[in-house]
Order: sequence, then C-alpha cells, then structure tokens
Amino acid sequence: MELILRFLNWKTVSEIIILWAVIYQIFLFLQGTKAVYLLRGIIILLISFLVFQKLGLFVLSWLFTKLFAFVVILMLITLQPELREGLIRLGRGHIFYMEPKKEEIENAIREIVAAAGAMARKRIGALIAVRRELSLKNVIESGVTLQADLSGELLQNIFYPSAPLHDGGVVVEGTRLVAAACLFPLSENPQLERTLGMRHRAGVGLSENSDALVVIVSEETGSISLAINGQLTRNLSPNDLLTILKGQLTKTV
Amino acid sequence: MKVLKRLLLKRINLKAIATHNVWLKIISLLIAIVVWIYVSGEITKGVRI
Repeated sequence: MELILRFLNWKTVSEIIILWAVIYQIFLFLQGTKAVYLLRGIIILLISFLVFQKLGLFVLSWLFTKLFAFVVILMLITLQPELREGLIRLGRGHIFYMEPKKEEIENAIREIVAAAGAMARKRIGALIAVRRELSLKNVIESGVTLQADLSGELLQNIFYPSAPLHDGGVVVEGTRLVAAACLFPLSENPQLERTLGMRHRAGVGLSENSDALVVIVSEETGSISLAINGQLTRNLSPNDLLTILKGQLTKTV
Repeated sequence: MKVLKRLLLKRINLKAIATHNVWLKIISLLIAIVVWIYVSGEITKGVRI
C-alpha cells in the first residue's frame, strides 16, 4: 500500500491516462479494419519470441529479433491507408468517439427502408451500402463526400435520375450519409443471374469485399434486393427489408 | 427548465461515454498500467547501473 502511494502522484496518473488514451485509440482504430488480423499475427510472434527466450532457444530468438524489424516495416507499408485514416481521425479530435445509440440506428434503418420503398414505387434505381465493422474508406474516397444526417428525402434526392450524384452508390455509416456517387467493385461471381444489371453486380461485389449490407433498388422492375456477404436476396418487401436490416445492424450495437 | 434538460442530457451523454466499449477501455487501461510499470522499472534499472 505504501509502495503504491509512493508512486501515486499527479505525474504518474497523467502518464498512465495519456498512455491509456493512446492505447484505446489504437484499439478503436484497428477495430474497424483488416489490420486487426495483422495485430493478431504480431501478438503470436511476440508470444513465440518470449517462449523461445524462456526455453533458452537462442538461435530462434535471434532470428525472431531480426524478423521483427522486417515485420514493423511490412506493417508500415501494408497498413499505410489505415495509418493515414487513423492520424486524420486523431486530428479531428474524436479521441473517445461515440457510436450512435440503438434507437438512432433504428431510425436510420427506417429512413433507408422508407426511401427504398418510395424509390421502388417510382422505379428509381438506388444503391445504398450500410457499413458494419470493416471500413469502406476506399469506396468512400471514390465518391463525393457528404457527411450529412441520413434522411429518406435526402436519399431520394440523390438518386433522382437527373441529379448530379445519382450515378454510383451511397455509403451510410451509423446515422450519417458519408458519401454519394461512389464506385463499388463489380462482382465476378459466375453464378449470378445474367439478367442482373451493373447496379446489382456492384451491390453484390461490395458485399463480397466487405461486411457491408447493400440495398439495391432496381430501376427496371422496381424490386428491392439486399446483398449480404456476396449473397443476393431479391424481391423484398419494405417490411422484409426493415426486419432484416434491424436484425443485422442492431445486434452489434 | 431548459437548464435542467441540458444537465440531464449531459448526464446521459457522460453515462453513455463511460459505458460505451467498456471492455476495450478496461483492457487498454490494464495494458497502459502494465506498460507504465515495465518502462518505469527499466528506467530505474538503467539509473542504478
């Protein structure tokens, strides 16, 4: 107790708090990216290194020490986009970024479903990607940044055929409409129906390359489809879409 | 009344900040403490030498 009190002064506490904020921020930043798998690999390497040292396997320990420098360089190269995103986020000042509440997510889902229903009735084509865990940074950068509050009216306005941003897809993150006119990767799945147009292929393509949910409204048939993990569910009613989106998006909140 | 509403909202937000990602916060705090103890131990070792 005396030892703890001896070390417990304002300098120690502030140092630990700063360290805590930095570590927490690193975890948050890794959470939404594929970098988390790399982190796991590094942790496994570190644990093996410690085990080798304890067992006195010096040749392996030496090799691991040399390998570690390469791993750090490799990490800097492969994680360059994520590192840039993290630094930008840090610069924006959201150290303890708050994710939206469950009710807010549900409201956003209702807005998406209402817009999809209205556009399906009017036969207006739409492509809406809803981010889950993995970052959609590359897709967002291919479009026009909006960072607007999500609303059904805004979605309908974007996809209105003569609107400047109607080509491409929109990206939704939580309750924000992050970007419009984004380019989604096309699916090369040969099992997809040949009758499916580019919009559906783009929706499936994005769901294959990320864990995003993609809502697709067909311009030709006015039907609503949903792509999840490369699987396309077609001819959904607005109620079905609402149920699936709620089930998929609110369980992780 | 408005002031009370604002205060209530603030309290809710503070609670949300504290309860959001609790486990991640606890783990990062533990790691921060371990890192601090390790580094300060290494520094004091160096001073003794």
